[in-house]
Amino acid sequence: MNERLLKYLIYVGGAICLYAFIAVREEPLYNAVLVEKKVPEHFEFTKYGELYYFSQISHFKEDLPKPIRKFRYSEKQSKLEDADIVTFGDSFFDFSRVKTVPERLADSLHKKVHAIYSFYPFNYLNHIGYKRSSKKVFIYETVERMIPIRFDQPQNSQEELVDWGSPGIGRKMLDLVFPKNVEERLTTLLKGSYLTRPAYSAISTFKFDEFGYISSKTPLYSLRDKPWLFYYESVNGEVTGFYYHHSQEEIDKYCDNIATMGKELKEKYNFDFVFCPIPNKYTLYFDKVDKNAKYDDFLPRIFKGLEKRGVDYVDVYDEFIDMDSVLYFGTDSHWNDKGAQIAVDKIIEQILK
Amino acid sequence: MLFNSLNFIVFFPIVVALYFAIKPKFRWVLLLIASYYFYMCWNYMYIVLIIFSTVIDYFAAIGIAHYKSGKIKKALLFSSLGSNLGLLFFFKYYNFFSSNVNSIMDGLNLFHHLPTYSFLLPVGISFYTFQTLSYTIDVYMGKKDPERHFGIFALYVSFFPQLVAGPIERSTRLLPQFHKVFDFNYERIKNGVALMVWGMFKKVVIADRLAEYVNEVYNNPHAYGGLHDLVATFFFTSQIYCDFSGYSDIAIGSALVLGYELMTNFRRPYLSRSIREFWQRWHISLSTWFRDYLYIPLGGNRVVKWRWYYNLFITFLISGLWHGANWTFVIWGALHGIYLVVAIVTGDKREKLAGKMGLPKFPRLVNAGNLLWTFGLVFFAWIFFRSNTLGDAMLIIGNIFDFSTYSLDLQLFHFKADFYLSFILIWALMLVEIAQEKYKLLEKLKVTSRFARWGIFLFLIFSIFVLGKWDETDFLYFQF
Repeated sequence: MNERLLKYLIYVGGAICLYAFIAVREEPLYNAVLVEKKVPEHFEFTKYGELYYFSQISHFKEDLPKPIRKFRYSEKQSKLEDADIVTFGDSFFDFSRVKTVPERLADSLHKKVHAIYSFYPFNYLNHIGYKRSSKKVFIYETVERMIPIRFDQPQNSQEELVDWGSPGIGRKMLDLVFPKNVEERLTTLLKGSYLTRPAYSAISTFKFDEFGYISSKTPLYSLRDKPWLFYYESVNGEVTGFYYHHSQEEIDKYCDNIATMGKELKEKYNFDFVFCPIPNKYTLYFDKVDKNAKYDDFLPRIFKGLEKRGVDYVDVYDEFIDMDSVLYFGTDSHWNDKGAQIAVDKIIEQILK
Repeated sequence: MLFNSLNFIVFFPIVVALYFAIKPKFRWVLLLIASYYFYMCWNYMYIVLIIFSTVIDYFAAIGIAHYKSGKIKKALLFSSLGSNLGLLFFFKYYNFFSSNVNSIMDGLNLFHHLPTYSFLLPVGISFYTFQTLSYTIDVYMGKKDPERHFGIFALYVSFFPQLVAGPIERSTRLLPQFHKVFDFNYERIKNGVALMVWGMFKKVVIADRLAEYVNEVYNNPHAYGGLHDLVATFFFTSQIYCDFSGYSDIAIGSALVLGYELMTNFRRPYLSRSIREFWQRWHISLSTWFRDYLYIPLGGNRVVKWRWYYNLFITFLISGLWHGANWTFVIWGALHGIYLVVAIVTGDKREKLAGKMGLPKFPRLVNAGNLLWTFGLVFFAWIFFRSNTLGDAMLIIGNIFDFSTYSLDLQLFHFKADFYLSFILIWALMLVEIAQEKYKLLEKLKVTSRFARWGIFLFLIFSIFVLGKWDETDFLYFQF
C-alpha cells in the first residue's frame, strides 16, 4: 500500500516538475499557471508594487494603478529620425502605472518625441545604425543608484558594436536547454503560480510576523503610517547605496564621464544632451526607517560637478526634497503621478531654456 | 546546479520518476544525460573537461589491462595521471604557482614574469579528478578489472549526486552498482529522502544562517575585535561541518533514492578524542583516498620513524593544497600534519604522565579533556582555512588573544534573533550527534512510533521552509 502510494506520488511530483521544467522555457505554459500573467516588455504587469513581490508578505500589499500602454508602443511614438526630443533611459521614464514621461512631454510641448528604453546610447545607436541628422534634445534618464555603475568607465562613441544579431541554431538550442535566468523564472513560478502562491505568501507572512524575516532584496521597510519597502541596492553600504560615502574623486570621475558622453553625442549625432538623474526612493524617504541617517549629498555634488563642466541637467532632487506630499509609491521603487508631473515640469523648464 | 536551488528541486523528481518509469537497461542513459545536464547548468563549456578525462581514463585502463609489458602499463598510467593532474594544475593551481614564482622573481630583481590567466575554476574538478584517478590506479594495481562499457564508465565519472563535491567514490564500490538493477523499494526511498531532508536542514537552516556572520567578520577582519573573531570562528567550525556534511547527506540520500549506496563521508567528527580519530570521521572519502593513493605508496608507517613522520606531514600538506590554491590551505594542512606527528612523538610520554597523575582512574574526565583539546586544535586550524589571507589569519589570532579588543555589537546580524537562534541550533545539533554516538538515535527512531517519525520529518520540512536561508549560496566545498 505504502509502496504504491509513494510510487504514484513520485510520478505525480515528477509530472508537476516536468511541467515547471518546460514552462520556464516556454512562455505560454509559464503564463498559463501564473495568477498574474507576465506581459513581455512590461515589468509592472502585477497588481501590487514591484517590491512586494520579493517577499509577498501580506502587510505590504498595496493596490497600485493598473499599468497603461507604454508610450514607445503607442502611435504617438515618433520615428527617431523625425523626433525633436529623444528620451533615453531607465525604468522611471518607462514606468507606465502613471502616464509616462515621454507621453507627457509630447502632449505638453506638442513636439515629436521618441522614447528609448536602454542604458548605453552609443551601443544602441550603433546597433540601429543611426546616422547624424537634424538637431535633437537628448534627455538621458538614470536612477541615482546606477550612476556609479554606468559612469564608472567612460561610455564613448568608440565602443564596440554589440552583436545583437540573431543567434545560430546551436546557440538557440543551448539557450533553450540552459536558459540563463532559470532560477529566477522558477522563483517567479513558485511565488506566483495558482498552486504555490497562497502557501508562499502565508509562509512569508508567518516568517515576518514571528521572526521579522523579509527578503534580502528589501531589507529596510516600515509599516508605521503605510507600507514602505526599499530596494537593497539603494540602502546598503555599497557604491550604489545610501550608506556609502562617495569621495570627491569618485564624483569627479562620474561627472567627467557624463560630460564626455554629452560632448560625443553632440559631435557624433548632433544631440543636445540633458542629464536627468532621478533620486532613489530612499534618498527622499530614508527618515521613514532611519531618522539619524545623513545623505552624503551625492546628487547635489553631481550637479555641482556638471555645472562646472557645462553639462545641462535637470535637478528634480531639489524639487522633490522640498515637497511635503509623497511622490513615490510605498511598495514600488517608482514615482507616482505627482512625482512624474513635477519631473516633467522641470524637464520642460530645462528644454525651454 | 546547486542542491539548495529550485532548479534541483524541479530536476530531481523528474529524474526519479523517469528512472522508475523506464526499462532498467536504459537507466544508465538517463542518469548520464541527467548528470551531464546537472553539470552543464553551471557552465556548459566545462563538460568538455569531464568528457576528456572520461575518454583518457577509459582507454588508459583498457590498455593497462590489455598489455603485458610493465613499461607500457606504466606509460599508460602516467598518461592518465599526467593529463588529469595537468588539467587540475592548470585550472586550479597555475595562477597560484605563477604569482608565487613572479614574487620570487621580483625578490631576485629578475623581471621575467610568468603570465597569469583569468578563467573560471571548473566546479568539482578536484573531486571528479580524484575519483577517476583512483580508477586507473586500481586497474594498474590489479584491484579492479577495467570497465568495458563506455557509458557506464562515463556515468561513474559524472554521477550527478556526487559529481561536484563528493563523496569521492571508489571504482570497486560504485562501478559494480551501475550494473545492478534496483527495484522500487519503499524503505530505501524513504531513507534516502529523510537523509536529503536532514542534509538540507543542516545546509539552509544552520550553515547558511551562520555564514552571514562568519562572512562579515572574516571578510572585514580589521573592523572587528577578538570576541567577534572568536564567535565567528566557532560559527565557522559549525558552518563548514553543516555545509559539507549537509551536502554529503543530500548526495548520499539522492543516490539512495535511485538505489545506489555512496560511502559515508562524516561520522560526528567533533566528538573525536584525537586528531587521528578526527581524520577517521571528517571527509572520510578524501582522507582514505590520500591514505590509499599517497600515504601508503610513500611507505606509510612501515619505514624508519623520520620517514613515517615525513609521509604523514607531506600527505597532510598536499591534502591542504587540494582544498585550494592559497597558502592559508597549505598552512591548515601543515598544521594537521604537525598535530599528528607531535601526537605520535609524544604519545608514550603523555601516557606515562597521565598514569603518574592517576588519570586512568577517571576515564570520563580524560575523554572530555581529549575531546575538548582535539576540538581546540581543529578550531585553531579552521582560522587559517577560512581566512582570506595569511595576514588576516594572523590578525584574527592576535585579536582572539587580545582581550582588550573584546566587544560584541550585534548590529552585524541583520536579524538579531538569528544570532541567538544560531547558538540554539548548534547546541541542538551537538545533542543530536551525542545521542547518535552514544544511544544510536537513528536506529531507535526507526522502531519508534510512526507518529513520532512523521512529526520529526515534518518539523524538519517546516524548519527548512520557515527558517531556511534561500538566497542561493554555494556549498563551501564547491570551490575545491
